[in-house]
Amino acid sequence: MIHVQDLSKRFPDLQQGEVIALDSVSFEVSPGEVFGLLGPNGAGKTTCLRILSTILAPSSGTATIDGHDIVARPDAVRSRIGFLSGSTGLHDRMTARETVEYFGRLYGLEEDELKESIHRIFETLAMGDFGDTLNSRLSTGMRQKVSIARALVHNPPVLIFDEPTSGLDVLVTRAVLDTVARLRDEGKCIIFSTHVMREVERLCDRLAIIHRGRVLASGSQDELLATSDQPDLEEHFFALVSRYEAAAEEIVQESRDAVMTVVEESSR
Amino acid sequence: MTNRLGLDVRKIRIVFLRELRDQLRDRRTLFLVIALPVILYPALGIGMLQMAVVFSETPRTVVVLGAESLPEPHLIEGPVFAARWCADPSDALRLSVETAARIPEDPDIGPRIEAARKVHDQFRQRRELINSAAASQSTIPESLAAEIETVNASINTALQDAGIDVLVVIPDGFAASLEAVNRMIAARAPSAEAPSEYPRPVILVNGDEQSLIASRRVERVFDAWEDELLRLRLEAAGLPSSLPSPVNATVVKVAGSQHESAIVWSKLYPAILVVMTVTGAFYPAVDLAAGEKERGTMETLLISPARRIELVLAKFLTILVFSLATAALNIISLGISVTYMLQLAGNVSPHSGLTMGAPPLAGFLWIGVMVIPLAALFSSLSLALATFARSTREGQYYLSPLMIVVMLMVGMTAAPGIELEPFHSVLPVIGPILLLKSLMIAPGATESLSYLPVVLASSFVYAAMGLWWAVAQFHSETVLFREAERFDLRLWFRRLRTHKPLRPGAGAALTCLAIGMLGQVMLMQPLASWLGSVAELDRPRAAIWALIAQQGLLFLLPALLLGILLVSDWRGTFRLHKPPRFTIAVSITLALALHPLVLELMQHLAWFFPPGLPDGSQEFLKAMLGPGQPVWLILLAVSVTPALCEEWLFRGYVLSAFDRPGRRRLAIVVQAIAFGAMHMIPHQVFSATLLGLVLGLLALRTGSLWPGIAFHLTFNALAIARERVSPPTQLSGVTDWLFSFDTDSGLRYDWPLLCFLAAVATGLFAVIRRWTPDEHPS
Repeated sequence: MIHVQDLSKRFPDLQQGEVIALDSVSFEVSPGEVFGLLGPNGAGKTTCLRILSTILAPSSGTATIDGHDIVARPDAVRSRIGFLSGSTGLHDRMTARETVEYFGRLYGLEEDELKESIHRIFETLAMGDFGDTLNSRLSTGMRQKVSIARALVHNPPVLIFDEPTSGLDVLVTRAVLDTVARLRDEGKCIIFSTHVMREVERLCDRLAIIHRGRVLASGSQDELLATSDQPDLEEHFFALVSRYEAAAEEIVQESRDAVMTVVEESSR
Repeated sequence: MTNRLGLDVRKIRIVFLRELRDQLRDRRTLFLVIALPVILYPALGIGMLQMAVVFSETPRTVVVLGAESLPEPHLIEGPVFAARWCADPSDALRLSVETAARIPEDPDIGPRIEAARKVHDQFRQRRELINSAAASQSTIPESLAAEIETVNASINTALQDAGIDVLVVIPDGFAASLEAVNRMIAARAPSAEAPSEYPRPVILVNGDEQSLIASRRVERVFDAWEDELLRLRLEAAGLPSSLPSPVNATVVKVAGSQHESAIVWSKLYPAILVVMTVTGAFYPAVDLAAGEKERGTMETLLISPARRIELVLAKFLTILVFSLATAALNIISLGISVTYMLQLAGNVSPHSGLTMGAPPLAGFLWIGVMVIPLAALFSSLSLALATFARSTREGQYYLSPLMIVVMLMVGMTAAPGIELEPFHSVLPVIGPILLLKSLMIAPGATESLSYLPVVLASSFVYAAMGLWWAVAQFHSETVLFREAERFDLRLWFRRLRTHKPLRPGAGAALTCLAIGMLGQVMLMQPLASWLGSVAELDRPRAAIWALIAQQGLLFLLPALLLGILLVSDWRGTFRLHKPPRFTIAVSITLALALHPLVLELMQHLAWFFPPGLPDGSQEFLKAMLGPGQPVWLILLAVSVTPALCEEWLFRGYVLSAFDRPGRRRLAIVVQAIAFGAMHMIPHQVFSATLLGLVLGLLALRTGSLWPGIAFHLTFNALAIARERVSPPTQLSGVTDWLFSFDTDSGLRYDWPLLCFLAAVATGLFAVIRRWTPDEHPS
């Protein structure tokens, strides 16, 4: 359903010249599966998901979603995904219902279809009491529910959740995770990015550990643990990241030494 | 539901309706756009009426020295001028007249009279200074002029310190001198004996604005009084009172008050219209673009199935609606308020001369037409600017520069000499305003109406360009996801040095262009004064060398320095590699073919452009390039140097800066427009832009600067050859068929030759377009 091949993204940057936010990332996700992207803040998760949702263009590499190329057919891709991230805000001067209706219409739903969809979603997410309140008056948890409803209104086969639980309290977090699990059971193809280990353990069928724009390891939880001598996922994650950092440091040191050698030789 | 452009109209409508509803729910926007104009003008009007009632003008002080020497009839009655000398009797009370005779009744006058006498002494010195200079020399020497200036300043200060607005000095025995002349005229004595030279009164005014107004009143009083004195003189001599005015033509204003008020409205409305379309567009635009980023809803919108161009169009339409609504409400509210207030003022004081009617209805119709292109342009510009901004606060910073530029344009149209001409009609903002002005004065005038299609078409082209810019902004990742970056000048410089890109950036190219443009303008004055100091005979040659130096300094040098400092591959940037020889040959042939064609085109378009240089400069140019100078020098200045310097800057640096894969045509157009703009004089701007397109094509297709230099050199050399070589005026045989000659423009090319040249040029273009350069060398 989701097929990502060697996806890279480079940004120009004033301080460092060019930043490689994503470096040859590849993975696949099938329907009925939650694929976790696990990585610390700034690992490149959001960049990767923004590229998949066609907001950003990849510098190189390809990806297809439900058979549609993200560069060649961005419109088709967007109509087949539901996207939710920390930076998808809500319009303050609209009510919850208006928000969901608005996006439903943009997705081309017919009026009766839309009504039914909203009814169903509001029911399952228990949004009935605040459906007609302005978004600006809603609590963070309520707003996240509206965002989820917004992402689900057109019943997309693919769902992309970028840290959907960040900033939420325990109750709402649990509700969100339950919703994701239920959607998986409905046969959706889901990417779930997070830096919280427990969520991955609880939810993800397979995952990729991503750090500094690179996939350090991927597979099911059991597969990952089998290749490691660590007792659990969290330890494994730390081990991977620190090994990567050490290797990177070594490379930097080696190249520095090489440069120094050249300099010394030339000055002799 | 997509149309031919691939746009989904339904999605645009959905987004548009949401944005509209969103704005209508925003109290700030509603207040600014709708409530403010409805309240503002009536409130201002009421405020001004109250001001007029509460504040009455304090009378200004007029000191009259030597009032006892005034002849009959009485100029002064008590503390004021006699009411009969004032057009409006209430005017008399606005001036308080102080004379020595009034000191007993008002002791405050004493010191002022004393000060006035001192001022008078100073003034006498000044007169003596001038007289002594006039006696010795024909012109006043500079040292003396400075001295007079000092005395003037000290008189001014003395008047201000004493609180005297106007000082009138009546010379001693003035009444007697006048009487003597009167008697002589009555006795019909020979005019030679008439003492026409006798001391006259002097009116001194200090420089304050209030004092200047007071002095104008005093002058009017004196005029009326003088008329009466003249009448009495004529009467005493038994002469008709019409004697001093043998012509006295009657002025009849046939246009009527309706027309006069139309003129006033035509000045007021376009300015208000422009300001309000900008305001009405800008604030919603900031909320719809920068605000969307700030609140984090931009990304939500971008992942919706609507395409970015559809989002931009929907937002643009929303902004357009608000811009139009603001303009309409302001125009109507202003019209009603001003008309009502003027009527009220007219009832209160019928002599005020303010007899203005309501704005003409046909004028309103034209406002309704012209507001659309203006609002469209400002809406698209505001949207592009607001999209670029990171936050609403940053967005609002961009309003002032936009407003200043727009107000400057409005100011230009307010100059009395500016009229709607072909050239003005294609300018943004200026064209629509000038057309609106002329249509408001004369709604059905065919001449103005003939400009309507051009003005509307060009305005919509500008609006479309603005919209295109906004769409481009919406497609730019760096604009949409601009993070709050820390700008550090030191870091930036270091990065410029350490991370030299292969090709220059647009910013550096714009810097080069700005140096060239501003440099030309700034050097104009110093160059002119330097040339003025050169002996007249050497002047043309000095000007030629100045021209050469200027091109090197302003075009070649900045691009060279920035190229070496900021670009890693400066050879590639300036396209210095050798091209195949035949490309040079083709370029020279193309120049030979195009020169007559461009010349003919410009001759046919001459009516369109305003006259370029004033006659004086034109003559100087002729002298500079005329037969007095050696050909090699002129070729150097007008052909070789521009070919090198301009190609270096435009086809080297600027074209390389804008040339990116996928937008090569755009790069050609941008550098051509910049090349044109650098030529300043409108018709040259046009022709240079055309040539810039050709030169840009040559540079990109050959990957080398040399063919362009060859073309440029040939083209300019042909222009000189045409000036310098006088063709035979008698043509015969084949030559008669190909050329013609007229005295105004010299040698002209006939149609057969032009068709042949056009065919040659087309063929050469076809050849050039097939060239593929081996460019971007690593």
